[in-house]
Amino acid sequence: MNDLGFGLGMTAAGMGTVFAMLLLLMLIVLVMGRLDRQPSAADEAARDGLDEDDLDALSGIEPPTAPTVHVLAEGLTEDQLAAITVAVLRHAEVRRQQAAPAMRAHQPGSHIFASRWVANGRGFQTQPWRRS
Amino acid sequence: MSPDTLGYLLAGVQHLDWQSGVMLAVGCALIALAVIKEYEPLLLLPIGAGCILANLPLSPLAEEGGMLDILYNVGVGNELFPLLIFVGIGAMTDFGPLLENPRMVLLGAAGQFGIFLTLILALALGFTRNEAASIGIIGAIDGPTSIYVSGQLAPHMLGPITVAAYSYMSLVPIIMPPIMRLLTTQKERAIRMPYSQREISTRTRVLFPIVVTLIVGILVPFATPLIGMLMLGNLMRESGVVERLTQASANELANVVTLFLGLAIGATMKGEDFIRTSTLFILGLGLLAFCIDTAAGVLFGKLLNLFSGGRFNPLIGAAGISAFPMAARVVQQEAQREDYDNFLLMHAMGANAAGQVASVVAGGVLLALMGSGIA
Repeated sequence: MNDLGFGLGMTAAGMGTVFAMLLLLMLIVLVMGRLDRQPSAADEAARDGLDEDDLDALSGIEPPTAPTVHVLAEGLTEDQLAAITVAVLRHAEVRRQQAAPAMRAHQPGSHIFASRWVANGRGFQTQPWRRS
Repeated sequence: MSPDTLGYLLAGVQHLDWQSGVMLAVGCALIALAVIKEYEPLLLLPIGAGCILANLPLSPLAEEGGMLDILYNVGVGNELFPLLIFVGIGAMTDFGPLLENPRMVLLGAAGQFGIFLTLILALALGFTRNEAASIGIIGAIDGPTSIYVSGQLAPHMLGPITVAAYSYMSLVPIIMPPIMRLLTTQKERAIRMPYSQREISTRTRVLFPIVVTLIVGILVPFATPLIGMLMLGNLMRESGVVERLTQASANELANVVTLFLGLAIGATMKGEDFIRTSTLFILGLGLLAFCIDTAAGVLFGKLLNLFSGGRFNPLIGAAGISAFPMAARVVQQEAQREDYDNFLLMHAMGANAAGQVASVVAGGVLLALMGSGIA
């Protein structure tokens, strides 16, 4: 009976403390997220000294149109060019993943290009039979 | 030839008793699980090997001054190895999904219920308070935390507790789904939750481990070694300025320490200490703790579902345990069984990352509450 009381007390105190700690952690992370949020258009306008009339005037300006594609190479259609572009980008992505450290193999990946390429070179040195 | 020569040659056979034989079979079974089934091979293979090496008759490796004895004294007896592993885990863990959705932190807390309910059951079965707390910590579903806590409270039970913790971690895809299906309806499992990725700045990612260390370290000092090392690894990863140290922690350090830890833990599984009724109880209670954790997580998820007006998928609650990232993956698989296009993985990863932090906090809280029992 004594042990049961001890166990129940431990459960209440333990789970209470764990919940309280994690609740506190949650609040802190929420505050961090709030402080770290991206500035909205209104915030940026306020920072630039613009009032609501200026914002309304700005809202009348048409947004930039999507860029148009002009095929310069002879004999290539827009679809073929798009396919080539996708293939080139995909190839670059594969090479990036091969070179990146395992934990950062996916987006956004490592921004330390130097060490990534050093790692790639080492990989090819130690495994010369691998095709690039 | 001396008359004793034959005795020297056959000394190994003469000293082979039934307990050693059973433990050799257990060691082989652990290696078979690792090799054939690929259940946590990184840990179960060295543990199995350590178990075999320690139970071979007259094995000099496990005697005082032998390699396995030295490994135990260097890293298990003084809690060094689990802490070094935490540096590696921190360097490998992405807390981004948790930072994107901080409310998931509470699911991590719900996933720790099994620790304390199992503690009560262990007390009822006649274990001492320190032993009961050590058995309960299996419910954290976190190998290094289990080793750290049980190493302080009941070092004599380290072998079975470690084997139970890692075995059940590897059985996540088998143990969790039936409980999840039992406690949820088909309609609940099919609930879709929109996910909008929010970019987390480097500043927040760097501040998170520092803030967590300060808060947990000040409020629960017993958890400082665990949370401190976990967050150190994560700080190195997120800062991006010590890529070499991060790589070394996540790969070389974690691998070497895992090997040493596995061998040293395996060496504690000597026949005369391991073959006891209490070992069976530990294995059974550990399994129960895992089931309670999963059930508590799902039930807490149902509670959130109630408060959110039916928009929260209760399956995500099951990811609040520490088995990272297997638990999140199982949640995604279960959700897809009902609705192939349902994508809950990122929500589950948030809850799973919270479980990682929560298990460490729970371990520290348990040590704090048992403070008087520490030798």
